Amino acid sequence: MKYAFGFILLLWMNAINAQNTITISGTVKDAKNGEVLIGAPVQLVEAKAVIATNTFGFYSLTAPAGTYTLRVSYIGYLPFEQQVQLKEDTRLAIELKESVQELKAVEIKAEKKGDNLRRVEMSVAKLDIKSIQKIPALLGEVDVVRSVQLLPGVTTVGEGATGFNVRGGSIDHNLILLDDAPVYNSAHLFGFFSIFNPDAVKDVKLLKGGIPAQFGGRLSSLLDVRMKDGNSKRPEFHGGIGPIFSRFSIEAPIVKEKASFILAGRRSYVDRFFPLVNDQNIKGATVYFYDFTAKANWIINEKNRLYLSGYIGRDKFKFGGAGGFGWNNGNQTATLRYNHLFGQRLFSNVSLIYSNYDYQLGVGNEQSGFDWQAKIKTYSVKPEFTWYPNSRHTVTFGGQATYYTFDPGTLIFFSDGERRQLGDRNKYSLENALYAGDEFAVNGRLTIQAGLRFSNYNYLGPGTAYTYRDTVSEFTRDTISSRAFSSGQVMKSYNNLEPRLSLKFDVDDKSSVKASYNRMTQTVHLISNTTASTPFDVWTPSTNNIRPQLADQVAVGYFRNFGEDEDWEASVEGYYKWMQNQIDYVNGANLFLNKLLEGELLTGKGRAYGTEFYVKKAKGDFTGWVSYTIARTERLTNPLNNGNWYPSRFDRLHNLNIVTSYDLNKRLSLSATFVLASGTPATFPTNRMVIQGYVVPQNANYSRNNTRIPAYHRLDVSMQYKLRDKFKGRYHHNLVVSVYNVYNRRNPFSIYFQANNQNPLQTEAIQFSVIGSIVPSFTYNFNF
Amino acid sequence: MNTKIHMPIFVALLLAAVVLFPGCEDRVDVAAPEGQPQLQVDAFVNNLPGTQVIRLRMTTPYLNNAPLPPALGATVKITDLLGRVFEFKDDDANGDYVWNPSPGQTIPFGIPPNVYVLEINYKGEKFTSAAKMDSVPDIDSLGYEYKPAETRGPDTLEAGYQLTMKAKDIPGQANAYWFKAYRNGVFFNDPQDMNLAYDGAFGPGSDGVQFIPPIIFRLTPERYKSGEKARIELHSIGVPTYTFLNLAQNQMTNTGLFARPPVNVPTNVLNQNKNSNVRAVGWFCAESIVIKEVTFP
Repeated sequence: MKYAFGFILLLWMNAINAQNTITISGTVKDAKNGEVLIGAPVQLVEAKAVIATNTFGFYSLTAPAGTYTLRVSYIGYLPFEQQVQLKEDTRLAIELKESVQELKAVEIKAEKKGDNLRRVEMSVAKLDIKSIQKIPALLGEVDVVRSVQLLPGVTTVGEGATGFNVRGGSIDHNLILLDDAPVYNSAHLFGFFSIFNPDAVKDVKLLKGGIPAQFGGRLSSLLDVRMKDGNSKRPEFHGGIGPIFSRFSIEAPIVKEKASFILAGRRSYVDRFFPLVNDQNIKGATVYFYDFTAKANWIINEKNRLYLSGYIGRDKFKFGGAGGFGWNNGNQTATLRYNHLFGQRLFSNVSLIYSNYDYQLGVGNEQSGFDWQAKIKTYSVKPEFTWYPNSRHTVTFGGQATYYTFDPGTLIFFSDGERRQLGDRNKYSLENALYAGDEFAVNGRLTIQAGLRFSNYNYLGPGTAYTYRDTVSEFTRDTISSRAFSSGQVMKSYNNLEPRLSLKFDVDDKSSVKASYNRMTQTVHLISNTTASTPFDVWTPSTNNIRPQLADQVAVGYFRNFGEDEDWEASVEGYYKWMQNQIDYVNGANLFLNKLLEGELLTGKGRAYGTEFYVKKAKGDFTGWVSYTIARTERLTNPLNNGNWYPSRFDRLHNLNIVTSYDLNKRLSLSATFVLASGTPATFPTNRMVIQGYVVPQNANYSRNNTRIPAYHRLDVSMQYKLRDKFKGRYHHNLVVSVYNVYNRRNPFSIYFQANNQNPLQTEAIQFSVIGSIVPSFTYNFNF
Repeated sequence: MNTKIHMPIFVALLLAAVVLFPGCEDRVDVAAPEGQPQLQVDAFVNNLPGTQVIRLRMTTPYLNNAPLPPALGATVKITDLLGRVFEFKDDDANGDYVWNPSPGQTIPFGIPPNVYVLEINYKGEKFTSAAKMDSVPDIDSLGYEYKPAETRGPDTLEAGYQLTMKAKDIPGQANAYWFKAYRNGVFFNDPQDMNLAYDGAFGPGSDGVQFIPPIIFRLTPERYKSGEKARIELHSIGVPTYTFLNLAQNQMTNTGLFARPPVNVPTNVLNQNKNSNVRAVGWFCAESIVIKEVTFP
């Protein structure tokens, strides 16, 4: 079977390569700082051939010998055009100049097609860091993840919720990659800020569907965050001072136009003011978070390039001084990537990836106290190849092997100097994948992107595989047997085939129809049953009891551009997603330090469906977008909700985002964001019991999510003022004033019920708002 | 055996939520969905001499703060492994079903270790439950130390006396305990203060150790003052009741940023007729208790 597949592959590769053609290839860069540009469309006009640069800025186009116009038109840059004579394989490095306001009038109006129409991929949103910087930010801190939350199909449980939900998926259904390294917790301070330093980010792309075969491992989305390479032409410094963070970054060439680096850091400094506060509680407290992002790249020669990038971030909290209570958590990632070009048409990249997320919390000392630690650690190798056989095919193939170590939690405690240890032992798994895909321009109107990913998963020893009673119960299941495995032994394997297919059909020059299907699998699971995920949630591998999660998604969309300059982009997309092996929890599940965790889990199905409307204006003085999503996401988990479907806890029927920005003049720009979303579902108790003097809530209908909290809406505004350049125009700086939650609404995060403080026999309903007031802020940014 | 260790993480989240996100809490009127009243059993019997009481009530809408109405006309009895039968009577017609020792009776109701079987007949339905009464270790010492005002996480503790206690979990078996603290005879009944232990800490692995500091700290929800009297009751409740109370506590304190979807606490009072859709709620526990008191100078 395997051989047959390989043989067919070979035949097909021969077939599409059997033409006498010439290739032009190279990289597309920003002329100012030498940053490679991702997704820039490079066109050989007369050959009707077009290719978008890959994540390393590389393009390769093949056509019969002849003279052609090579054109690159990319948003934010002046169009590039050059006559090229293809006699033999050619290398051409392209540098694009940034378009500035004054030059707008002379922009060439070419018969180009909008970027959104040209790509076969759908359900995708690209955010460049410039537009992210215009969005009014909470406490003035420009934030990648909070910007992503304004896109259609993306929701969040609320402020303070780590992560985001894409098309009805859980937060762990998002594959978040920082330069190819998976990030397990994208948040500082419980979700108020994301870990990505805006000064070090080049490009952010969110894929919600039609995910190509080279990506896998999560059900719902891919958030691909690419770091800047660092200015290869001259040293550059960026910085900012805001109420929460201060930022500073340096980028510079090591060898001009050959090697460069970027080093960016942020640190919060609220704690620096603590000694001034006359409150014992706060005075002795430590609360801060920081992150460092670093990257270096080296162009060895035309065919070889090396990248090394890394991230270290940490949140630290400590109360009550030495012996007091505290915790800290953070991610570390490292990626080493090596690009090699075989000939002109085969681009390869090999990535070595490390990622670690851990948290630790403790109280007291070694006489009496405890210390708790948990982590997830990943090592991965990922060879990937892109082959550009001719102008109609782009073939991708490769693989990935990932070794995981999970420490689900170890508690060491000291009682009277006596040391004891609780918790589960480490778990291990190995995930392998092979994939191949082809983007095929069938004719001028139809493009197909088809791929297949084979994933193989192994739950590895040492460890104990437990077998549980298989009765369905709303309470913890007991084990009936267990079997111990030694180191490296395969305890359980799963194989899955994941077909991916996207189609694009051009209706006319201004509109296209796209459709996609993808199957995704997921073998790492975030165990969390809180409304908002916490940094202390535990990642667990698939086991003999926890099957890999599966999702099948179909999506259909209509894309159309309007306006003389095609400056208005509009789309409507509908999707339906079926999810299998979804994890839910028995009543009162104990998810911490529990080696019999699987007995606390329930398995169910999910379905999510909706329609997303999106209108965007990307060019001009006035930019922004409106997105409206009407969607449902539901779960069916026996015996919860008496065995009936119920809305999942992040279900929001209506979701409206309006993001606008207006450049009043060269110096001043104004932005506003409005968000409106239906309230999330909640389970309210129906009855009260009184047991041993305590009022205990009871739901006599045994239902789940039987009601909904009020809707969420919020308006934020900001003003960006560019100050006059200093030092002969080399020092640029601006001021950003932003106001979050302008009309001071107390948006409900949840409604809960509690005993009255004075009289515990009286119960009351409490509406909890995470941000209960207007939040103004002020940030000063500079670069030189 | 299942581990139940919500405690430290629970405290951590509570602290995180309170310290970092005081947020905004507004008391609101909500229309809670309606549910049918259910028979509720509150049956905690023990080894102390004297009467035993089982409270039968009907549940009411959650936000109705009136006392629960009694469930009248039930027959209630307990039998034990020794073949003894104890009948509980609601002589005052208030839903409190009481068993009184007969005059001159020397053998107490509760003799750990023993198993008790509860049977309730109510409106044609027969409910039963069984509970094991575990032994209880002694409190080796109960002392105190004077502490200045101090902050612990989000809490400010006034200056006053803090209890110290030495007691050890019974080794060799899974035990569960509920420490109840009283000041001048008044029980600290805030759900946050419910002080539970599994073995010497919060789970297996702490078998036979001295009860660990968080448990000792929590004997003093508020600092005691001169002249006040503290009473500590150590209830050996058994693991099933620990699970129940732990979950009940989680449900009663399920607030803030990291609240979990509310769920029902389990019941161990089951309808014998599997086909009936009438369900009872509540809990039956047989516990053994030791008590120590201290008066502050």
